[in-house]
Amino acid sequence: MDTLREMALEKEFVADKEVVTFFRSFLDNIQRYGRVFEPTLVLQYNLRSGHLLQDADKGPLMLFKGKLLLRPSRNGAIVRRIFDALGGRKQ
Amino acid sequence: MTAYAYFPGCSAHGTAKEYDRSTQSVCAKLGIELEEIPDWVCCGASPAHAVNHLLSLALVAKNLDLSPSDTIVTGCAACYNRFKTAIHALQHDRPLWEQVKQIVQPTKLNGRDFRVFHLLEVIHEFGLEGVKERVTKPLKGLKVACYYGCLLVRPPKVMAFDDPDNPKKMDELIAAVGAEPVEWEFKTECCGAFHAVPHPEIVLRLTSNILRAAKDAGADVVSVACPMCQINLDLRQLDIRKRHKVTFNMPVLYFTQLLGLALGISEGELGFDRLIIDPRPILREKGLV
Repeated sequence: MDTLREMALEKEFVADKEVVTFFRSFLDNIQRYGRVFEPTLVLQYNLRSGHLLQDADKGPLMLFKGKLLLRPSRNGAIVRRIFDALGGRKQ
Repeated sequence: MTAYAYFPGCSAHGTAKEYDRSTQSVCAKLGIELEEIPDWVCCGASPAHAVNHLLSLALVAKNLDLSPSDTIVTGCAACYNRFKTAIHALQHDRPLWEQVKQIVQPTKLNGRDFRVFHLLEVIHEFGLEGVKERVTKPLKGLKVACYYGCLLVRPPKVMAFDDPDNPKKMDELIAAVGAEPVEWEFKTECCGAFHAVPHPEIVLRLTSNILRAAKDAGADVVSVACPMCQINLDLRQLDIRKRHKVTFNMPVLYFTQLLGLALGISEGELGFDRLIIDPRPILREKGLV
């Protein structure tokens, strides 16, 4: 199943653009930080998908509830080495 | 007691801080030793394996290489699923293992005999009697719908977690601390997972069905063992109210918060105030806080 999905993506056979935009935003995020940093992940997804205000109302509540990480992890280099070793096939 | 290498998962430091804290407190209370994997990185979750199979295996292998022990525990059902799936693939395919080693360039990772457990398994294995003995505040009168989600149990051959159709481990733990697990049919239904971002409507529909089933079964609260399931079932109740005009007002707690309450851990440490649907009114009504 993974292989079929991978082949379809390589050929840009994408039935669901939102899902692929989310996947790419997610993988960019972990390449950068090593772990998911939710504030920039949501921001990047919203910008790329054009759903600019999606879940914007949740931000203050999440912040108030102490559910937002304020500083990202610094383990991006570990993940980037893996992406680099995979060459251009990563996405 | 075995020391477990602890893989918290990305949510544990953000949206699920209360899960991480209650996990650490409950394990300390039970004498289960956890040692966080230093410099752990994201397991890749759904996006990695959907986009590049090798990437999903390599991210798990990297964490195994960083692990101080070959016995790993995580509280996240999604991470647990990724770890078990990757280890299963690497253990059954020698050429694939060699390929992943080339990518990861491990420094310590020689053998492939890693064992990964979900926290539910570890506490269950610790023993229901042992948990029961340490209860200082039995959760009498609290009806709990134990929700496992799909990632803990599927695919059954790889996960080998519990009965895939009717898992019982969480129900047994909840019963051991004096609460009453309800019988219901949505224990392993999907909550929609990451679709909360690209397709929130799907998640609202699925979580509405789960919450309605829990309510119909007479549950006071839902108990979960995954940060993604928790946030979908808890936070999305606000959208269900706004868009579908249905109010469930159903608290969704981590099973560690319920165990912790029964074990006498303080409310502040368990982080009830961090949940979106406040569980304290119903807990107060039952005389538990």
